[in-house]
Amino acid sequence: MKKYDAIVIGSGISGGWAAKELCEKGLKTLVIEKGRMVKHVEDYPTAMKDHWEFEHRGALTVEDAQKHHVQIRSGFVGDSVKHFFTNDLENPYQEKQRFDWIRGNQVGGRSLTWGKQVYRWSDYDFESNLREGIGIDWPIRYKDIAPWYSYVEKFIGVSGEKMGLEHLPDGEFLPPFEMNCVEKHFRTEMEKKFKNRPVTIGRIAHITKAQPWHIELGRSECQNRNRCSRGCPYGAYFSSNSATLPAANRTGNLTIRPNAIVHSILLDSTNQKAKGVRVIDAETMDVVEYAANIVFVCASTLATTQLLLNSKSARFPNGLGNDSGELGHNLMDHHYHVGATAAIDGFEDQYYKGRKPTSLFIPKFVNISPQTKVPDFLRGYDYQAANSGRSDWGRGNSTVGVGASFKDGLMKPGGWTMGLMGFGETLPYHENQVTLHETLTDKWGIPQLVLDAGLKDNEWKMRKRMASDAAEMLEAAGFKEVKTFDNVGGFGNGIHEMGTARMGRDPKTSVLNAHNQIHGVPNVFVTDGSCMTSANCVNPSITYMALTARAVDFAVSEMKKKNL
Amino acid sequence: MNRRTYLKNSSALLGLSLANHLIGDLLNAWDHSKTIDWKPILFNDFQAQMVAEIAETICPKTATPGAKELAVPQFIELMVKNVFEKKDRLEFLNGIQSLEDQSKKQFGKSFVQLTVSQKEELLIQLDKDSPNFPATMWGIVLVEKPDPITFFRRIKSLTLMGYFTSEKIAKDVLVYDPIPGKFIPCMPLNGQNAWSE
Repeated sequence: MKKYDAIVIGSGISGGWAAKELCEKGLKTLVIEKGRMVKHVEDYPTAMKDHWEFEHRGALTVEDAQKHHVQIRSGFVGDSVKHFFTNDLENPYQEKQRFDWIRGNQVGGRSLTWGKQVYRWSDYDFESNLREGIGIDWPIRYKDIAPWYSYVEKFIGVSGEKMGLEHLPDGEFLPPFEMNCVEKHFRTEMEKKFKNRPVTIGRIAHITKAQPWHIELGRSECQNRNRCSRGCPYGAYFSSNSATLPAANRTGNLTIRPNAIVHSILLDSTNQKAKGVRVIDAETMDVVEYAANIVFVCASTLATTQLLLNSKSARFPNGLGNDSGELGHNLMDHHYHVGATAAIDGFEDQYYKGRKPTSLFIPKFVNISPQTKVPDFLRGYDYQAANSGRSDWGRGNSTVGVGASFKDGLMKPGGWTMGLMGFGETLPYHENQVTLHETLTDKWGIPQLVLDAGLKDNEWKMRKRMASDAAEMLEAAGFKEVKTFDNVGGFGNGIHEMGTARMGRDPKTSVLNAHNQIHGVPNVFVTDGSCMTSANCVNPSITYMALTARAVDFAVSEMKKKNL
Repeated sequence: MNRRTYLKNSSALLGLSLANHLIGDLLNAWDHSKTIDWKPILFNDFQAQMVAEIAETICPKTATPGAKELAVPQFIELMVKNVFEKKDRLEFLNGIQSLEDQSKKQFGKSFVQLTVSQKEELLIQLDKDSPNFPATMWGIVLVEKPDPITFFRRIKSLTLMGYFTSEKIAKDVLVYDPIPGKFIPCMPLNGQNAWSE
């Protein structure tokens, strides 16, 4: 059995960070990835293609749509990015309730296609479960993670504007993207009409001013193409492929093993520590085992849970680290697909140049203090916006007309439109869960997941307000044709699934401790979304990255103390 | 090889069958003045000619090329063949026949024999009768139960897509800016055409 100092399972946003930190601390590290290799730039085949170079101008053929029949529920999968989304025919799962499991099984995982929005949590968020008696208390507070937020933000590059809000801490920011005329107008009107609803530009993991450590890795500034999900040839947005994996690789300590499915984590029955992993080669079906002193599980929430549940032993008959019985429970996501759209008159003589990759952001403004508490529901929501912009020829689809003047008119920019999309918090419900199917397996013999999760009263009530607040703000800012929308879709379509191996203070009610270490298996760490104790309403990746870097720091110091 | 090159090459290769196809058309009673100039891969000649005339009515030649000149009918056929589910494909083909039936009923003539203003009149009526596509944001459909999509809504959207995302229009007529570099948030419009994306 080949031995490494550390094994990292998964190469997405968390696995990439684990690999970088472990390698930089001198550990010989093996990264095991289920999917294929994706090399930065050279494996971005569509990055420089124009519309007309796609045979179906970006649409999926019937065959491709079938191959991605779950992935397309996200709305994000077209011909230009389909190769970064999972083949659903080869990766089946069972839906007790509709569940949209959007996946990126490849080196880099979903860090290639993520939304890149970056927001810190505050103490008000970390204390929310304790304050309201929901689920269990987080074992950490803002002060525990704040230095790691800074550490991660500096490395990845985050553009943003400081706001000085207590409930949405500022970070280490590169210059913010600018707002266009209508967005500035909206911001000004919001300041006039609402006391506590400040508007900012989305904080996003894009380099707007390259720092020496970015340039060293070959990363450069955003070119405002907004073709990010195809992979960025400039390395302008953060991904494992553009940043953490190259940083790990230059230490000489990294080995990546793509096309390898981890079947289980192997427990040493003499000391109840993990001794390594059993791996199935995705192509040849060969089974191999690798040994390591420590294991970081970063396979993404549901895949991590699947692996832990499938790692059964005499000591852990119900899955590795599952003494509490909580493994697979408390599944959360963010619920969205709710808000309002609108148009605005005026600004006909104004335009812009370039396609900035971010849009307006309105931080949470209810339930952020005792004064802002609302009676109908707990927790809150924020808004991200459709970039306000002038409509293009596509408006011809919703305008009655044919013929010469109709066609020639579509050559010109149309009116301005804007939309607000709410992102709401989901509470941790024990019964929202994922389990292993008793008989169905995938083609590699791994038991399929059964997903059974749904929104409840708190979320449904919140959604009503998410729609009406969006409309209220657009109307107050002078927009017209304001229309609310609410098309919830399946649980999981926030693509922020989390919480199934939660952190906590008590081994009886949680799977992980305050350092993401499995209770009872001290050399296994879980640092992807499965570790989350509550969901908040902000995009979670920055928190996963900060927790990962923090956990590696702890793990290596424990190794040095011979505690692992 | 991109689609345009492919079309150019394949029509050269298919010279012989193209000639046969033209002879076939001459023998056809419904119209021999307006033959199509490509070899259909899904449509029969009637359907191909109808689609070409509908597309050209939506996007006619003006100071800029028309839909036919930019091979939009061929693009529509390719999409109906490869991108449409079987059910939608059949509906589309039936939609062509329904339009023809409507034309005969209303004007006593085949659609392709109508004057431009008669064609426009017929299509505008269909446009008014067709519900809009559901609203979307970031590719996400915002409506839980969208209205059914009519034949005309489909062919109009395919025509606009094929036309405005063609290399000729997107690169040379609209303003092509593949690598903007700096983002300029506000600037005077100054009469320019729209950015191509």
